[in-house]
Amino acid sequence: MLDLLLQAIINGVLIGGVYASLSIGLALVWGVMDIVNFAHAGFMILAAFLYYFMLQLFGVDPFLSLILIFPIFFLVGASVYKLLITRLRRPELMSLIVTFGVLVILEGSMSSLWGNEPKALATAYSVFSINVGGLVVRSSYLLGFLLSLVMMLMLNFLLKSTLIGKKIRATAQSREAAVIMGIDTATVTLITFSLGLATAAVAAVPIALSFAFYPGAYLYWTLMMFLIVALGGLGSVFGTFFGSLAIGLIQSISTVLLPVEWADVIAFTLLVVVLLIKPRGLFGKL
Amino acid sequence: MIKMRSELLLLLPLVAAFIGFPLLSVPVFFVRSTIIIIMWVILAESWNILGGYTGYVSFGHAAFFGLGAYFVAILLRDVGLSPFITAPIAGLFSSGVAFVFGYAVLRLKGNYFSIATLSLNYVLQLVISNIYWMTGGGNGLSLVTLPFDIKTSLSIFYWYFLAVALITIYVIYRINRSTFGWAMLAIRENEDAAKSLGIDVNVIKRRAYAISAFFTGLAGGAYAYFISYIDPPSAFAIAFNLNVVLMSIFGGLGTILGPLIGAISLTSVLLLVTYTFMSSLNLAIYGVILIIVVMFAPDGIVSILSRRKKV
Repeated sequence: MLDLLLQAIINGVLIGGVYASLSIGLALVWGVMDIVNFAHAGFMILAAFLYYFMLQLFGVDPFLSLILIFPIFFLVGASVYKLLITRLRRPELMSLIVTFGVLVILEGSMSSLWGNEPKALATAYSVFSINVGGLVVRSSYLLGFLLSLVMMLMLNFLLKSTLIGKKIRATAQSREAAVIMGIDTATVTLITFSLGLATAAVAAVPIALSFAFYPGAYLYWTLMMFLIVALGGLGSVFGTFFGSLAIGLIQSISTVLLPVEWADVIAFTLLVVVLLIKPRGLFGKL
Repeated sequence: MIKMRSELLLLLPLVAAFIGFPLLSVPVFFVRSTIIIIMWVILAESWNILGGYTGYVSFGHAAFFGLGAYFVAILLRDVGLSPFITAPIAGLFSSGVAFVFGYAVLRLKGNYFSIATLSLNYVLQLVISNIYWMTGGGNGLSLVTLPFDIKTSLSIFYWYFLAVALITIYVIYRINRSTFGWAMLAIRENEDAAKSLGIDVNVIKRRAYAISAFFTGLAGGAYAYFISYIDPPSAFAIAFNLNVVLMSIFGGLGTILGPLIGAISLTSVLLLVTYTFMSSLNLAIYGVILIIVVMFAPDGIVSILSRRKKV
C-alpha cells in the first residue's frame, strides 16, 4: 500500500508538471487581458499532430521540432489576436465565443485531414523507465516534467526580471494606469496572447509523449486546464505550478484509494468546492 | 431593442408556419429535422432565461438535459410510464437539482460561474456513467418506441415539441413583463445596484436558474423518447452547452426573438452542412460561420433587424 502511495505521489508530481505547461498559457492570457482563449487546448492538439508527423515523416525528435513550431505558434497567436480578438467590441464575453469558433475549426479540419484515431508519439526513449528501489519513473513523464519546469522558470524570469515582463505585469494590474505610464498596452497584449498560445506548443511535447491524442481530446484538457487555473489563480506562474501539482496528486492518489472511474469525479467536485471557498482561485492574481 | 409587442408580431408568422408545416405532406427527413429545430428553440429560449436576462452564462445546461433524459428513460424502463407524462416531472426534477446547485454556484461571477457549471456538468456525466446498475453506464439506455408507424409517431412528437416550445415562449413573455423580469435585468446590468434597491438577488437568480432548468429538463425527457437511445456522452454533451450559448448570442441575448432566430438558423445551417458535406469538415464550416457572425453582428441578428427599424 505504501509502495502504491509513493508511486502515486511520484506520478502525480510528474503529471502535475505536465499539466502546468498547458495551463500557464491560459492563466497568463486570462490574468493579463481578462480574455479566455478557449482554443488553447485545441492548438496543443494541433502541435501534437505536427510533432507526430515530424517524427513519422522526417524522423525529427519532438524536442527539436519544438524549436521550429514554437515561433510558428507565436505568429499564429499574433494573427488570431490581430485578426479576431482586437476587433471585438465586448472582448470579455465575445472572445470566448470567437475562440470557441477557432477551436471548432481546428477540430473539424484535424479530424477530416487526419481522422479520429488516437495517436501516440513513440520515440526511442518514451518506453524507457528508471527503476529506483521498486519505484518506477517513466522517462516520458520525467522529460515532460523537466521541460515544463524549464519553461515555467523561464516564464517566471521573463515576467519578474525583464522590461517586457514588467510591462505585462503592469498591464495586468491596471490597463489604464499602464497606459498613463506610457506603456504601449496594444503591443504588450499582442505579445502576451502570442506567447500564451506558443506555450501550447511546448505543452504538446510532454502530453503527446505520455498520453494518446486525437482531434476531440481537447475537451478533457480544456476542463483540466480550467480546473487548474481556478485553483491556482490567474497569471501567477507559481500559483499555476502548485495548482497543477495539487491536481496531479489528487488524481493519482485517488486512483489508488478509489476505483479509477471516480477519480475525476473527486477532482472536479473539488474544483467547485475550491471556487466556492476562494472565488478567485487559491493564489490570486499576478 | 425591439418593443415587446412588435417582437410578438414578428413571432406570429413563424408560429403559423410551424403549425401549418405538417399540413404539407413533406418527407419524413424534413419532419425529423424540424422537430430537432423546435427542440433547439426550447433549449435556447430556456437557457436565455438565465444567461440572457441575468447575465449568468451557464456552460452546464446539458446537465439538466441529461438528467431529464435519464429520468424519463429509467421511469419508462422500470415503471412503464409514458415519457409524455414523465417529461414535465423530469423538468421539475432538473429544476430541483438546479435550485440546490444554485445555492452554491450562483455565488460565483463571470467566467468562474461558467467554469463551475461546466465542471458540475462533467461530474454529473461521470456519476451517471459510473452508477451503471441504474443507468446502464457507458452502454446507454434504449427506450421503447411508440407503437405506431414512423409518420404517425413523428407527427405526435412534432405536436408535443411544438406545444412545449409555445408554452416556453409564452412563459418567457409573461416573465418579461413581470417585476421578476425587471429584477433579472437589473441583476444583469448591475448586481450591487440591484441589491441596494432591495431586490433579493439570490432568490431571483435561483428562481431564474430553476425555471431555466425546468424547460431544459423537459426537453431532455422528450428528446430521449424521440431519439429512443441515450448514453452519457450524448445526453451530457459539452457541445450542447456551447450550442445554446451560441444560438442565444447569435440571435440576441435577453430577447424573446433572439434565441428563436438563433436556434432556427444555426440548427438549419448545421443540419445542412452535416447532410451535404457528410464529413467532419462541417464542424469547421460551422466555426467559420460563427466567427463571421460574432465579428459583424456582435449583438445578434435581432440587433440588425431593430437597427433597420429605427432608420
